[in-house]
Amino acid sequence: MNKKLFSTLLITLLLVGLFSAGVFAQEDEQTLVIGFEADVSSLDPGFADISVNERVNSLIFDGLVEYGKNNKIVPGISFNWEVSEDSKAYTFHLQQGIEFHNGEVLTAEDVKFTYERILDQKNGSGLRGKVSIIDRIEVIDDYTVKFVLSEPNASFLLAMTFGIVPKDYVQEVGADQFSRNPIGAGPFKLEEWVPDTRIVLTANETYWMKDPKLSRVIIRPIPESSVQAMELRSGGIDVAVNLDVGQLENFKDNSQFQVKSAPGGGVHFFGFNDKMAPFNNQKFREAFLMASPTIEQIAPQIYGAKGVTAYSFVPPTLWPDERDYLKEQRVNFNPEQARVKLQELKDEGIIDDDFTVDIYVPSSDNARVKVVEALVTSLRQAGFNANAQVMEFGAMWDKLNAGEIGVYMLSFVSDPDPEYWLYRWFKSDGSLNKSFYENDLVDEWLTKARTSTEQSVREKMYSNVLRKTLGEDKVLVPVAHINQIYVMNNSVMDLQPGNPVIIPLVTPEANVYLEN
Amino acid sequence: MFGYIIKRLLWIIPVLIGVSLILFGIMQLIPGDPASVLLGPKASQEAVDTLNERFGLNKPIYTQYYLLMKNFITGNLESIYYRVTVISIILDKLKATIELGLTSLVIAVVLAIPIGIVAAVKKNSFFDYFSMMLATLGISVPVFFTGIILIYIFSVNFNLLPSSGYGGSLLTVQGWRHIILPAVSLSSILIASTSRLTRSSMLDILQEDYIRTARAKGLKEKIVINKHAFKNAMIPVITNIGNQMATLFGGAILTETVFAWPGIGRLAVKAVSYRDQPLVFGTILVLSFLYVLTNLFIDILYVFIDPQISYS
Repeated sequence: MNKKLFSTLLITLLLVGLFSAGVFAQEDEQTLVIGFEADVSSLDPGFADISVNERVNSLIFDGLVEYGKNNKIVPGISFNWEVSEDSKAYTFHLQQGIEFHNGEVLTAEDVKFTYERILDQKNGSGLRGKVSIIDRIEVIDDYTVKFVLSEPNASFLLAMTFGIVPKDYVQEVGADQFSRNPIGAGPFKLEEWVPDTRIVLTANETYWMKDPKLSRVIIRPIPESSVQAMELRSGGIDVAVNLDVGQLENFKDNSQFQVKSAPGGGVHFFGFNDKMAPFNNQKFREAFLMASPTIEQIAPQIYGAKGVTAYSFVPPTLWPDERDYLKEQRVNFNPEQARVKLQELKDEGIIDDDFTVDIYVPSSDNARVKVVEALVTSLRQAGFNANAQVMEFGAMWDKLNAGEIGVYMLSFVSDPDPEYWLYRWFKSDGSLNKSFYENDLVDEWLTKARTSTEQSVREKMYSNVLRKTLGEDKVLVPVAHINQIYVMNNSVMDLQPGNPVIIPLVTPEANVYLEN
Repeated sequence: MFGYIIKRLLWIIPVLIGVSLILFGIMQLIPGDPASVLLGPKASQEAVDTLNERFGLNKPIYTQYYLLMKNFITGNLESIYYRVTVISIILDKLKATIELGLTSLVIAVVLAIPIGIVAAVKKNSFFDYFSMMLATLGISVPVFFTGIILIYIFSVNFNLLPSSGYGGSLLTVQGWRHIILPAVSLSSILIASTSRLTRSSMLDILQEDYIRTARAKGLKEKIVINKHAFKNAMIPVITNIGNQMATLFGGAILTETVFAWPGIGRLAVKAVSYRDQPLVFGTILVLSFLYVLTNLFIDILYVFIDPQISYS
């Protein structure tokens, strides 16, 4: 045969083979492919302090208790528990016969080991802060375990959602190996993890709660939002989480896809430094807020389906609901008045004529950068000198900690209890008090709410905190509550967003499956 | 020649020590400490302290450098973010990077050099204008955009190739299917610059006296081009390819991001943004090593192309 013809033929055959392989390669019917925005760094639930890790962990591990509907705590491995009268001791009764993926039976020893591992300072777990009130853990019998706290803590049960790890296996293989090849008692087992490429999970056929309807779950990290959107269209993935606003719009009107959203992605907000002039001056804050239409008018445009206007710091799904009160307290947009106030501030010598407001925002999030840019424009229109300082998060965090930032924009998300949202941001010595806010009354309310187990008392205390800090002092100015959004093709059934730290494939309420 | 190679290889050691010192200096200057960046706003002071203690970040600067170097050389350097050894992560990603880099290199060389030669030989023809127009386009359009367009055409519209991700080893069909789009989009810039350079270099050579002599003595045009002109025209082209190889291996960050390719470029960026000092240190050192090695390889290649060059 002619040599040229032969090679042309060979190449054609090769190309046809390559291009058509995809058409015939069909995945198993009940295989769900999810696109993530980042790769997982570790699958050890004792170190799951990064959101993507937490989400994948929720599929492999189960906790003593679980998040149920509306993020209420419902029984998990522990079917029942008692709280002592002084609210300092919690006794959990475990379901019998629950097996880890390797067939070992889950007992109270594993629970004790799981939490002591997090508590051990040498291990450096980022979760330690959430459980440091644990004084000691006692194993009563194989299926009963008692946690004794150093002081009462109303949000303690949330920390009981951490995944339980098998003591023998962890001790045998060591922490590093465990973080790569984890074994839990959750609905899915790890089959394969190729870093930065995919995580493959298969259904745990002996799962105690129910039989998972999905046989496999593949998680693929796709950092670029537009590529995630294209993967969804081409069928490379079934579900995309956290697409950008621009991509979302294209899917909303497409009948082949479902877009489901729920509150729970956290809050975006401005904060003023309470120790730096003139940012600590009430009149300055009012002038600043009067000059900014951002919050009511611009934010909805920027966030679109991704967020709703925020008045409170805690999400709308969480109590106490102070939105109406805080809305009334909000300074209304009034550029004329802002101009007058600004002049007064200058006349009174509170700010110099050439004073410039630098608004700091991390570069990682487009939406927040856009909000700050819009704000800067309107501040300038009202006569302020203003600049947006878009910085890499690490660098900004350093400046923030050093107290060098007067006004900043950040985002925050945490577990569904106001304690987690308010204590650290508003307590004088709170670890996230980046405004350096100090108020004895607020401190007192926060402490009282933390140690009380009476719902009405806690509600009252947190209401007080919100009204004082946001309504009166305006230390932080909430902008938007972010929605968690899943975009998926029409075959995905029973999947609902709503909790940023889990992927609810198999939960007390849901059992996701694919319909053809 | 052999002695020269040994000497060049030995030179790598001081070069890498220099790189490590500069790198360490820069890392000290970057604001943001690893613990607070990594653990994020949720972390307690206690967690931050524990992490600093564990990775020796609270020790004096010279001790930190010594520990980094010692652990890097012995292979014990541990990533703060991944909590496994840096070398295991790098080796893992390096494979994907080298596969992608070499594939795009092959695509580029196989396409660009013939295009350049034909364009030069058929100067001012339609082919010349058309291919050089494409080359200008290839240089001007960002890889990022080329990638998205390719995905849109081949994955979304025709559903022929997977749009992103790593398909595994190149010994498998899946591996090849996954590498085509990223390799083509990464090679676009190299194709463009190489074909333009080949063309202009060929044009220069074709003006030379010895080419006229070769033609005058009645050699076939094919032999004149392939044997006399081509070899000499290749020297600047190979230098260019050599320089671009560093980009293919270390700077393919955009391509890697668009195609979710688990390469070392993305790893380096991630390491910097997490302030994962050990990982930054290891990644950049390995990349520098690759760069130096590539340069050496190119220098040796000259000897085979141009007999006038020798290293004795």
